[in-house]
Amino acid sequence: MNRAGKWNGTVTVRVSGGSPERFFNLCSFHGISLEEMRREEDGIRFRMAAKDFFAAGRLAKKAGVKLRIKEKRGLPFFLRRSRKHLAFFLGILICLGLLYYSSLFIWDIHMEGNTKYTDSTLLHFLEEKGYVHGMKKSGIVCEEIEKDIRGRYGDITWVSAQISGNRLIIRIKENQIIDAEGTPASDESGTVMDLTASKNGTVVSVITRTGTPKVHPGDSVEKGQVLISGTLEILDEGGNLLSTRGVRADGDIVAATEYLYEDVFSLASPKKYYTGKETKQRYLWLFGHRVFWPGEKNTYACSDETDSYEMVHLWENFYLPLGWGVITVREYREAVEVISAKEAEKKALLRFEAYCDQLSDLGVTITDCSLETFLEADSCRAVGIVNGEEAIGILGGS
Amino acid sequence: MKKRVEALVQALELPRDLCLGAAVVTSVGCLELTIENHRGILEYGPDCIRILSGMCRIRITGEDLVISYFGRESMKIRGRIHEIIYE
Repeated sequence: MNRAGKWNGTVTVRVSGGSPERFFNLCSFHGISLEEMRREEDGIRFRMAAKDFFAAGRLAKKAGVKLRIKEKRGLPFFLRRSRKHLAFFLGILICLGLLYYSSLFIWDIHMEGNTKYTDSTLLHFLEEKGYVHGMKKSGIVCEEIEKDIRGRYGDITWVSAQISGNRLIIRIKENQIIDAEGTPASDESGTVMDLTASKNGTVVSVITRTGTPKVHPGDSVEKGQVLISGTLEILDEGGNLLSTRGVRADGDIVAATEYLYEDVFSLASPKKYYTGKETKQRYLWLFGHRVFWPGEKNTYACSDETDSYEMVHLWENFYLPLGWGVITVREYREAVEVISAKEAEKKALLRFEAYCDQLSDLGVTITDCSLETFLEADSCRAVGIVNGEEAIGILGGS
Repeated sequence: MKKRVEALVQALELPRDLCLGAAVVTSVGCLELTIENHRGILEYGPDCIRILSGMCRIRITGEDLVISYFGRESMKIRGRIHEIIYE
């Protein structure tokens, strides 16, 4: 009766007078189960299902005993007791209904794995495509989102969109290494393809996996020159050409290359000077709209805004259309800053180092580099040479 | 007649609780007792409970005896049980 008793209701009854034992036997004979029989001073107390009480009343008359209800437990009695608090239960029902209704919408668009593109950039793009906070879950086709993002951002190599609870989770993998210029997409059709030089240089090493090598270490090559031919020559024992076969050339050709660096930047540059004044604009986020708290407003001519917000969520992926946030506005003044010669040299060096890092990211192993800076009236010119080694082979049609 | 039925049940190796209405008494230490196949309560008190079964009467004596379940087929007694006597 324990679990069922909570839903169907149980009563604790005291039986007194007459012959209680006879009453118990009659109950058992009529299939009425009794629990927790305990003798007390004024009779025997026991518990029974509420639905059996009226049947037990007839048997009590037969046995000549008196029944008195001492306690009522269970859902039917709770509802009866609570009928005066109807509004409270109605509130709970409405709340549950609202929860269910809000679970039909997307209240959080979460981005993962993006480093190059900020959340706001991607959110803005999604907004253009019609994917906004507060849209219905049923209107979202994850494959379309993936396709749109991949189509718009070429250097995003992998996208996964997933609806979890009422969050739209978009996982992104960006291409960390920029492809060598002009690298064509891999050709799987089996046509003859040569490996050609993507830039001028001197060959350092040749590793051929498929095809016929056309260059040797120490050779100077020019952009577009065939490095490994996609035409395989089949010779007989005498060295005579029997036939040729077209393959997709494959191999690693590393060459020493040279990059000429030139950079010009102005000595005067605009700089932000923060005045130290800031205002905070607090807001509530309700159903995709911001409701600002009455208070300070942004009256600054030039200012930076930082938005930090929190959203209410019941579980990890069940977000409610409710949140709050603070926009911190910091005032600044713009002024032109003129840097000194020493600072200009330092800046030129930093910019040159960034250029070298960028080359390293592209797969160039830098072996030697030099930089010279020239100060002019209002600008600084930096000229340098970077020597490096890199793979220069790219696939091109025969 | 009863003795003949008992002999027949024994000879045929039939279950006695079904054929003779004998009670099945299962005791868990001295704290709990389950009686199946009972015919009703004869007397109930906190120190003594008497049960009717098909073959005999069972007297259970102890302290703070509570019938935690009483149904048509079985009953369960809880408390500190001292004796189980078949009368």
